[in-house]
Amino acid sequence: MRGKTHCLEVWGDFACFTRPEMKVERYSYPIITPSAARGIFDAIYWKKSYGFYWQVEKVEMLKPPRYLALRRNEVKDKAPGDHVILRWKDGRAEPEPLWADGDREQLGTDQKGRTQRQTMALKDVHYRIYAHLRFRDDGQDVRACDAQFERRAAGGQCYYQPFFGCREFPAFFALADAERPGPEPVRLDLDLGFMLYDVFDLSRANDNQAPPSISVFHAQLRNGVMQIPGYDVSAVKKAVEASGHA
Amino acid sequence: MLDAILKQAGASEPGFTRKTVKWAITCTRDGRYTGVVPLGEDKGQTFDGCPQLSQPELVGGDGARAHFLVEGLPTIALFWKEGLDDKEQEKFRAKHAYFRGLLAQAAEVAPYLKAAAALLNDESAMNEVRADLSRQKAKPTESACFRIDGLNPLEQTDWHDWWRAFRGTLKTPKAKAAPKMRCLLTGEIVEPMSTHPKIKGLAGVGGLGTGDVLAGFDKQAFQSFGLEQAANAAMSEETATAYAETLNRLIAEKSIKLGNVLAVYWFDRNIPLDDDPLSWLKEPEAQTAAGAELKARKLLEAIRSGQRPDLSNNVYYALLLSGAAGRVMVREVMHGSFEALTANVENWFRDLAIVAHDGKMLAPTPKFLAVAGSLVRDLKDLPALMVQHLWRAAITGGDIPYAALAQATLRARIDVINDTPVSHARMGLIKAYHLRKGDSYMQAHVNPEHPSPAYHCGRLLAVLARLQRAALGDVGAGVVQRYYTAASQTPGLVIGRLAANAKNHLNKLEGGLAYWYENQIADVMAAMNDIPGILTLEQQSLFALGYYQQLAALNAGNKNKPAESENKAEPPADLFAAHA
Repeated sequence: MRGKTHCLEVWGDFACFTRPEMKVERYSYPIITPSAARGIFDAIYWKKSYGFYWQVEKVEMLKPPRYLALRRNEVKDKAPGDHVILRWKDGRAEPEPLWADGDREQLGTDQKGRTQRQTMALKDVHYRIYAHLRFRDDGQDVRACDAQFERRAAGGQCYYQPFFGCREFPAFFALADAERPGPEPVRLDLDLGFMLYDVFDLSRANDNQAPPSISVFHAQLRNGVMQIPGYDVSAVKKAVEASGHA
Repeated sequence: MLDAILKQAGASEPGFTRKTVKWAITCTRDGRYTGVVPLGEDKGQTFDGCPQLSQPELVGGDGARAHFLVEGLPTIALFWKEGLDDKEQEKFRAKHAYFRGLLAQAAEVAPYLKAAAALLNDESAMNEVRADLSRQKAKPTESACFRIDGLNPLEQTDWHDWWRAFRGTLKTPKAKAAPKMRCLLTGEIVEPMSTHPKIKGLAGVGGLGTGDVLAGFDKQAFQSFGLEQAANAAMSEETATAYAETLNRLIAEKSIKLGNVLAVYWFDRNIPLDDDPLSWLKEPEAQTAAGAELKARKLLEAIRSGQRPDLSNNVYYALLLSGAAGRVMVREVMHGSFEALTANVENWFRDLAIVAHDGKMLAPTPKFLAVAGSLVRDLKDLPALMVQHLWRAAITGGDIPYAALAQATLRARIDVINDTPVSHARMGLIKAYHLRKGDSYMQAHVNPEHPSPAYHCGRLLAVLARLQRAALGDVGAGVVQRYYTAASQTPGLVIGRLAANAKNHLNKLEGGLAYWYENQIADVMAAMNDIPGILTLEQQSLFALGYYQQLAALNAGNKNKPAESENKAEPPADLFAAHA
């Protein structure tokens, strides 16, 4: 079961759709990935209990990709999970700082402290993204969901600021107006090889504990338009060969 | 990017790699030592299909392990510098024993290896090996292999199956089978390799001598979704080996070191070196002033007229790489059609074309590194980011970065004031900047029609400097040394004072020469509709270019210019009365 196709125009100063194989010294794909596009729709309208996911249909690139090199000091380790923080809060464990500086001699390991990392980000990005709601089960009021999304997107409402790949690169959005078409896609053809489709199994309801399920597809840009196959078709190579779903 | 690299992959297999070997220890079939010979020239001879253990295989197990057939001199011959501490010596002895053990095991399938194993067991022969290595000034960092009665085991294949089986025994069975994942490059379901092979050849650009990893995720912050190590970018061992081997080969064969960055490039279909536009950027044709540009134009015409169908559908790929704390940093990925590349390289040379200092012809076509290097005092000071931007401008035909213009203008000013020889490449770069910004008046030679007053202010200073020299000879700190900086930044404050001085200089000249200089000054002044008070950075660069091109024009001589000894009586008119 699916809803109607919605179109969002999104733009921003910077973006980084990190290639998984180059995520340490980050290098961005030249165009938004389906999962990053899905994330923008999710930021505007998503309810876990409604049992749907956003199926991105196509992306139109409205400005040519231009790269920007950023170099930043970043920490090597991560903030601990909720359960550890809860233990600290309850006084059951001694809180440990996240070391933002120091070398192997001071910290006793090279797994902590800071490191300098490069990001080859995109600058001045502008896309038009088409997507629809895909329901895993029948029985939902599709029209009501579509109307809610349109109302929220038209009013600029979102649960959190949508972003382009990394949270530090905010995405701005507007519901595309069919009567006032925006700029034409750039005349660009690219064969991007296999591109990350999504990190999670979209056929399931995922939460914070959901295991990764990485899927890829052969991405091609034709005249500035990247067509994106549905998650349930064979063109999307999923982690586990799943049988068809809703 | 890696998928494009994979398209260039030849035959590659985990456990085998290409290695360059400097020395061969030679012996007879019965293990009698016959000498040590250097292989190849300079760095040694390269062999494909050398046995190779990955880092986890090498450090796994209880004791020290070594590679098979090829090893460093400390391991293979216990050859090291005096004073090596006992712990290190012990480590190499253990590796040496392991190496000998491998030879003995492999000798069951390749009997000629018994000779090598016997040689290593013969202490007196090994003393001779070390003495010979020392006499031939071998370094402990170099590697060696064996040559047994003229047969090099590296060129044989009879031990390959044994080696594959042996590697299999090194893998410790896992308690839990690793989950299968989609390979990011091939889309196949694979068991992800935990540590990828290293990329070699980046030691000169910030990398490690032992190699750097392209897809490595050893730190917590590099890992996501609970995935560990290289499962974050799942690839099979075969795919990871193929991309690493191919990239290593491209670095060895098709790379250009540009300061602190390594440019690696290749074409979808191989082309002759003579048709490679990127090699012209590195080393342009020197025989003619516009050699590379002409060559590019001819190649373009051949592609467009259908004479070179082999090139018309070809595609280029170019990477800029450097090393960062054991990781490969990809700074730029570029690809496009061969035709566009050739056109952009032609434009690069055409835009850089500038009159030589003597004014007689165009300056020789500059190497890419000469252009980039003209922005700094020493090549090692060249920022990688600047190289990256200039390389992009050369290959894609984009704008010259503003930072490069700022640096070029500064360096040009320093050279003028210090009276050091001017860099043609630098002046060409300033010209290219303005051309690519849409300045259609910009030419290789001086252009009296240029609309910018800043450009003509530079020209005027060149004429006034030459006038002073004609009138007074060498005066030490002349007009240029005293006023170039001020005139190039605030001409409105300085030109008047210079004009007053010029009047005195004109008065010192006699006859025709005075008139000639007077006419030159008048020509320049006529082209100026205003003398700006303050110049922006771009205008300062135009000033520098005007100064340089006018000097070149004066150096070229003018048939109408009278000899400096020619005498005429009439004093010159007060040319600057209106401006002073």
